[in-house]
This record gives sequence, C-alpha cells and structure tokens, in this order.
Amino acid sequence: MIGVTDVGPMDVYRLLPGDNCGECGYDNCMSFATELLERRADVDDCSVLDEEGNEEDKRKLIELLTPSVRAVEIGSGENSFEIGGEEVMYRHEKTWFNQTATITDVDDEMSDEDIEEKVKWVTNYSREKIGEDLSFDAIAIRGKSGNPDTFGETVEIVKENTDYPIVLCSFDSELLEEGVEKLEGENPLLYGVNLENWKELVNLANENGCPLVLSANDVQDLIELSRKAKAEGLEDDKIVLDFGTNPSNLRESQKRIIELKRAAIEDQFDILRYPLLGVPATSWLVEENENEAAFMEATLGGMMISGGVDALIFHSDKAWSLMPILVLRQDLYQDPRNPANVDSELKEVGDPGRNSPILITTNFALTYYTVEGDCEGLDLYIYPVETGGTSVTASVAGDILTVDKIVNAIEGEGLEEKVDHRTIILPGPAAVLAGGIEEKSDWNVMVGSQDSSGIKKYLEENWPPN
Amino acid sequence: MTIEEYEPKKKEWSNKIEEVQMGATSSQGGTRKTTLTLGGEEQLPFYPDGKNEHTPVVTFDIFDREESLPGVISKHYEDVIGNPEEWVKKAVDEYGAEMVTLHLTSTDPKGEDTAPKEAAKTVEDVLEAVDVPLVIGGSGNPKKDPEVLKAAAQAAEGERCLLASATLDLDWRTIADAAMEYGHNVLAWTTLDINLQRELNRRLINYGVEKNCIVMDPTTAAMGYGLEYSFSVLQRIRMAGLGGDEELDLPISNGVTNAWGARESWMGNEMPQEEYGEDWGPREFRGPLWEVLTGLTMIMAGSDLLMSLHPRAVDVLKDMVDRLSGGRDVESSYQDWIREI
Repeated sequence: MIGVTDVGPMDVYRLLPGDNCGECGYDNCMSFATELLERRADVDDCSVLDEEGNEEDKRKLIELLTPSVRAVEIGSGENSFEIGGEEVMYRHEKTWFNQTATITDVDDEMSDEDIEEKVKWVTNYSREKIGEDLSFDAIAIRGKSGNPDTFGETVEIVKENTDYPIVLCSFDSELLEEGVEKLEGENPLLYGVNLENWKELVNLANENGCPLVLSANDVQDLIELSRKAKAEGLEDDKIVLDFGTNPSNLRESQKRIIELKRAAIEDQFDILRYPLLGVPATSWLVEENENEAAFMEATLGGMMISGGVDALIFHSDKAWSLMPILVLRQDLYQDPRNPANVDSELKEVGDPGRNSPILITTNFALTYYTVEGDCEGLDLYIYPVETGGTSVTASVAGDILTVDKIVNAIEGEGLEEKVDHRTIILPGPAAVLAGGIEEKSDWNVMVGSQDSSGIKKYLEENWPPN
Repeated sequence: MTIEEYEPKKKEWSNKIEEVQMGATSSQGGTRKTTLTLGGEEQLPFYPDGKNEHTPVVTFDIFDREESLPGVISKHYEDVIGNPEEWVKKAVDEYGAEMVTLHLTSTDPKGEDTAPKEAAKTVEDVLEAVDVPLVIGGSGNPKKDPEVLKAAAQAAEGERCLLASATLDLDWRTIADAAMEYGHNVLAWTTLDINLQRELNRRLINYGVEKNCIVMDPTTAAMGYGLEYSFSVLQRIRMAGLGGDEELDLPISNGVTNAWGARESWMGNEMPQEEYGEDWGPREFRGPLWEVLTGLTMIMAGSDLLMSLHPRAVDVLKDMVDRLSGGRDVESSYQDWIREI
C-alpha cells in the first residue's frame, strides 16, 4: 500500500488535465502538481477538473493526495485549526505537519467567575519563541453535572469570553445537543462516542456538521465504532479517535497509540485513518495533590507529543506546567528539512548605524535566533561565526569557536567600514577568547552577559564604551 | 459496506542492540555491589512488539568542584556541593541513585586546571564512598581530557566505569587504551551527526575496543534549544541498529542535565513578566519539568542512560520508565474522566 510519501509529481500530473492553462495560478500542470504535493495548492484551484467528464480523475487525485492520517478541521473563522493530516510515523522520514492541538478545560460545576477567569487566561495566554507565538488551540467544556441546562449555561459563559474553538465533552447526547445549539456555526469538536451512545451522537454530529470523537480503550472497539459511525453517514473528515489515556499503566496506552498509528500510516487500514486524541488530564484522577497532578499531566502530554498524538486535553491552569508543553510541541513540529545553521554573514537588527554595537555569536540556528530575539527593539549588528552547528558554550569548550576564527571573520567581513568604533562584544561563555582577539587584531573586546537574555541590560549599562 | 478486519502485527527487527555492563563486582575484578546492563533491545522503546529485557537507567550527575548550579537544584545539594565524596553518598543514600556520573570539571584548564593525579584521587574517594557503578567525565577540554581520563581509569582499575568521552576531536586512542588496559567502557560522543557517530564507533572498534564496551552519546540539546535534533538523531540511530547497522547497534547515553542550559528551566518569572509580559510560572516546578520533558523525549527515542541532575527529575523519569514498562498497574477507571476530575 502506498502512503503519500511515495507519491511523486508524475503520479499527480497523470491525473491533471495537462492543458497548462494557468487558471490555477501556476505556469503549467507540472508546477501545479509539485505545489499540490507540497500542500501549497489545493485540488479545487483547478477549475478544469470541475468540468464534466473529469469527476473520476478529480476523485482519484483527492484520494492520492489525502494523507494517511486524514485531516479534521475544528472550529470556524480565524481561530479554526486542523489536526491530523500526517504522512509519516517518524518525523525524520519527512516532517510532521499539524502540531498537536493543546486544549485545556473548564467544567460546568465551576462557578461563573472561575470559568470566566480560566477561559480568559487560556485565550490570552501567549509566549513568543523563535519568532512564533505559542498559545493554546481550544477550550474543552466538561459536562460534569450531567445536567443539560447547567451545561448549556456554561457553554454560554465560555462563548462570551473567548473566540477559541470549543470541545464539548459528555457521553450524554442531551448535554451535547444543548451545547451544540449554543454554538451554531462554530464547528465544535464533540466528545465522545462509545458503544452505548453512538447512534444518537453520530446523528447529532451529522445534523450539525461537527467533528466527533470516538472513544474506546481497545483497538477492535474503535474499529467497530468507526464502522458503525461511517455506516450511519459520518464523513471521513469528521472522525477523531480517543484511544484511552490510562494514567497508571502507560504501556497500555502506548500500545494503542503505536497500533493505531501503524494501522493508518503503515497499513493504510482505511477505517482507522484518523487523528488521535489523548487525555493527559486523567492524571488528575490518580495523583495526590495539584502540583503532582499538573506535573504528571505535563509529563504524560510530553510522552504523547513525541509519539505523534494529534490532540491533547489537559486540566491544568498553570503556566509552569503548560508552557513547557507548548515549547516541546514547537520543537518536534519543526520541519527537519530546514537547515540547522544560518549563513555566517553580518546580520542587522533594527537600523544599526556607525555607532551601533557588534555582537559575536555562532551560526547555529537556535543560538542565532535566540540572540536575535533578545535584541528585539535594538539597533545593532550580529555576526554569527561558523561553528558547524554548535552553540557558544559547546563550541568554546570544543575549541571550535577560536580566537583565529573570530579574528578572520571580523577582518574578512570589513567591519571597520561599517562602524566608527573598533569594539566587538563577545558572549559571556567566550570570555577566554577576549585577550587573544585583542592581541591578534586591532579590535577591542568587551565581554557581554553570560546568557543572551542579559544583552539589553548589558548594553544599557555598557554601551557605548568610554 | 465491506466487512474489514484488522489485526495489528508485531514488528520483528533483524538485529539486537549490544549489551554493555556497567560496574564490576568482586568476582569480576571490581568492588561494586551492584552492576547494571545497558542495551540489549530487540524493539523500539516500550513498543508492543515485545518486551526489552533492560530498561533505561536514570543516573545522578555530581561535580568535583563548587559547581555553580541554578538555585532550584543547588538547594538540594547545599550541604555537599564541593565535596564529591559527600555528594555521591547523598545521591545514593538519600536519593536512591543506581549509578552516578562524576564530572571532573575542576580539571578544566580554563578553570582550576586540577592535575590528572588529583582528579584520580577524587575518583578513588568516590569509589570508596559508594557501591554503585560510576561514569567518569572530564571537563570537555579536548587537550586535557585524555590525560585526566587515563589517570582516572587507572585509579578505578577493574570497576568497569564509563569513560566520558572519546570524540573525533581529541586523542581518543589514549582513552581507548585506558579503557582496554584498566577494564572500562568508552563513551563515544559526537555532535548530532549520524555519520560522524558511525565514524567514531568504527575507529574505536577497529582500534580494538570491544563493542560491548562502547556506549554512544549523540549529544542532547535542551528542550527549546534543539531537542528535536537529538530526538530524531536518536530515533534514526536506534532504528538503524535494530535494522542491522553494525556500527550503530550500541546503547545510547544522554546528558539530560543539558536541559538546565535553557533559560526557561532556571530563570525566575519576574524577567519574562517584566521584559516580555509573559507568564512562565514559578521555576520550582518549571525547572524540574523542563529536565523531565527533555529526558523523557530521549527515552521515547531510544535512550539507555539518562544523566540527570535534579532529584525530582530523576524520580519522575524513573517512575515514567516504570509505568511505560507496565508497572504501577493500578485499576483506574479513567474512562469517566469527564465526571470525575
């Protein structure tokens, strides 16, 4: 069976009209084929495929391009997001595409004030890292009360306080129905189908066009639920699978994650080709106190992100336990095909002039972007010295960042023409190189902060030198 | 609708990872009371294809000098920092360390430049103080480390320690000689490059070091600072080894302590709030969690040895290994999480 990774431009091209008409916005059908594979274009961009007689080709093309794990859209409007849409089991085989949806919850037995507070916190939470805004994706509402009216009221409060997509959680179709009514047109994710309630829930989902979570602690039960749901008309782009997050016996949950991912990606078993949902929040059922629970919940979440689970529901409201999850997610969803180094050439931050400082660092992408980020709002130069992909500390320790290398770099770059001063600033961990650089060149060396987070303060206090 | 059946298949790999013993008992020429085995895997970590005989080992880092550590960590070791003998005892007796890594950072020529002979004395003292296997690390200085590790190896003769580390950028032959002469294992350290790892392993093996005396360290990047590179390099190495690559079928070690290089692990919450208007939460919990997530990600990729630092992190990582192995099989009815949390 072929996964999308084995599909090449020729396979796509064969199903295109071949007119090279340019209606899609690309020069010719071959370009369009490449763009389709890179997910930068959509099959619907080709109007010729919509003409009579081309239906079969269009259908085949969509099937060819549908990733092994189908994509499911949650929410509507500008905050909607996609989960799934994955082609590979291991990120190094290509890349992972849609980062794990990070969702945290409220329940309908919380006070109105508490609900409002948490919803606002989740909605406003954000932190910047490597030029990206890290934030949450959705809010889950648990029908803890079991009462449809109570649930409905909570949904209204949440809706008033956020424009984030919602996940409605109950095994009781009455509660979900109440919730769905309040969120008309908003495409909430509905949780969850089991062997008892599947018919009502699938019908509810179909009527409202909502995506739906099928929940079972057994792969065969998930197959049965999937079969039943599809027979009842649930569409392929509306199905999400909850494999059961056992907070005590992780081996069990891990087994199901692997089996489900293999079923979709390696075996192309059609009725399991859906994104997976984990619930690290179950940690709160087994841990003694709040901090322990939040800690274990984050640990469990981390385990599942590295396993390629597509969406996670948390319970914590603490930045200390959830911010690390957002960073881990950012890390593992980096595209491995992007280079790890930046070019070793003079970089400008802001609008540097003849009296602006020159910072020395290494050209390892992470080092460089961290330093650059710490210089936001300043006007200066950064020179990333070539260290073959190592950080400052590692390259100093390993004698890769050396006096000679820095001297050659600053002299070779013609820095004396850019600025009127003759001073470079080394990162703290490279202090040992200062003397040598001053000996071997005409440049003065200042030693900056130990960590680039101290750059702003350092420059405020020490630049310009007297 | 067609009736579709599906039975998940177990994957069978063609090769087994080498088993490396850490520590030697008196009948083996050492004085350790316990030994540990790394490696021996026949499937990917905690996969349902079978059960690997050995599980990842989580160890404690100790330093031979007054190492400056983030407050969140140093408060646990206040009474022992600067005293490696006491520190190692605390790690074993109070925190249950199964193995310890002694970092001889005082030998750094850019620092105190302690002589190899002195460092060897410290190694002796530490071996005397506890009965668990030992990893011995230099300072990372390529010119000094071979001499330091040679002296340490001699002082620890017969104890089957792990000498950290041989690299392509230093005199690895001296370290290999010391390992072979005095009965130790070699940690082969490269920087996130599979081909360089193969190269180093190949050189050691061709030089005469037995495969069951080599552990690989492909480098651990902290979460937020390149973790994904370590994760994927480890996964690729482990899959290559299981698939039959005889230059990569060795156990893997990770310097999880590197997580503390990330500012998010040690920085208080005032700076992010004032400078960026961001909430990072208190570092008391954030720090250890940063180390845990760094280490756990390595475990999920195939790590056999996690060199860690914060006692809380060691605890949680050990617990995770236990739970992933099927331990702590408590009957928990987590299915009703919606009503019960």
